[in-house]
Amino acid sequence: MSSVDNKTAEEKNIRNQQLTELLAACALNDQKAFARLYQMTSANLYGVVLRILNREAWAEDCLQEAFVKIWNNADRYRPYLAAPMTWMMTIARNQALDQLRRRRREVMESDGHTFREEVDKDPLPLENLTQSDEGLRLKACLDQLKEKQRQMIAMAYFKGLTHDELANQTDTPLGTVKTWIRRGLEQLRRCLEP
Amino acid sequence: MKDSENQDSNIHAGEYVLGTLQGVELAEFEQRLLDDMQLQAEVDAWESRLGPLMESVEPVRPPASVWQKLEQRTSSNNTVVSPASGLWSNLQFWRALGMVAATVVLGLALTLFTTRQVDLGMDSMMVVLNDQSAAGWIVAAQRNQGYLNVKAVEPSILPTGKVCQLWMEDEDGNLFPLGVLPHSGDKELAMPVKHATNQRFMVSIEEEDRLPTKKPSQDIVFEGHLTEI
Repeated sequence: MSSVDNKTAEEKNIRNQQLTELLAACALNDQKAFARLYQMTSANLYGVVLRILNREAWAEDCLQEAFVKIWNNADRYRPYLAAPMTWMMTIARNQALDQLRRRRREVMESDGHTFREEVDKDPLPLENLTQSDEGLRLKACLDQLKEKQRQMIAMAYFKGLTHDELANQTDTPLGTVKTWIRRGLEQLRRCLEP
Repeated sequence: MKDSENQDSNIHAGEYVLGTLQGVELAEFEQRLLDDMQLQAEVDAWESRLGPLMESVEPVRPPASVWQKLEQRTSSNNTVVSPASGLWSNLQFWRALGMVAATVVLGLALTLFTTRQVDLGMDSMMVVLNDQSAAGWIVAAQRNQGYLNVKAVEPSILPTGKVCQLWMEDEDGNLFPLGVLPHSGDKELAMPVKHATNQRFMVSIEEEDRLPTKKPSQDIVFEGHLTEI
């Protein structure tokens, strides 16, 4: 399959248009629009923050904070910079990563113990990257990377691990981690160039 | 900038979005991001490139309690109304606030800008408040000159497609559109007549591609006049 079919693409366009309009209405304090926006997107955002945080109680707090940010910053959304879902998911992901890093730091500072990662053992579910043309293109480009590179990029993306932490978790020298990530990103950028 | 530096910046932007930058590298990158639009564009591009990764995650329905808490936190009875929309369009608020805040802010603004404006020969100034009731723009004029100098200080952030339009009302009540207040930097706005002490200035929020030419199509969110310095 080289691209999603026209019907799916059209449905996605309509949904994006709806989400963009709802965000514009939220910017004008329209609470009904906010309720509709939540209804349409909360399961996607909750899935992402739950995957990053791996604990329901944290993920629920995080989702709440992410939507408060979306509500307060709806007037800053620029449709020409990002699709509405990407913009909202990015807010949710950053909120979850901030929370995860804060919790890690708290644990380290309180008893010097390493934060107990509840790492999701599932490999990156690349097979699901087929819902959009962008997803298909990214999947094709990720498929060209070495398995280890791909997993490191996924771990960094979903666990907010720094170069040092990736080196520790995967038992790989720091220099190697940095090189893999940089080369991986370079390859991805070249591969994704229009 | 050299190609290799460009490439480094791009990869750093990718690492930043990925989340692997740390320590000094991260601090330096975030410092650069504050005023490097090109770098911000690269970060945005990486967010879009990697964004589909999040689509790969199975949606999970959150418990109803999350929405109940959210509803409480964002309802207009319990929260400070987002100034970017509510207060900004509330004329009563602006009128009530105007005199007090303008006096306070004007003092600060004058300290910041008087010297340069005097050097430029400007002899009158006005502070246009933004939606946070801070100095959004400084407008400077020179008596008997046919233009204004407008400097963006901390402009209001408006929904896409909206802009702040500046108007001038002369002593006979005739309204003139002067132009759009800049998002950043300085701008010169031509005056249809020379600046005189009895002119009043107003700001309305308008559609960028449908600027009215006769009178504001929306409420006035700011009113003021130039003060001699």
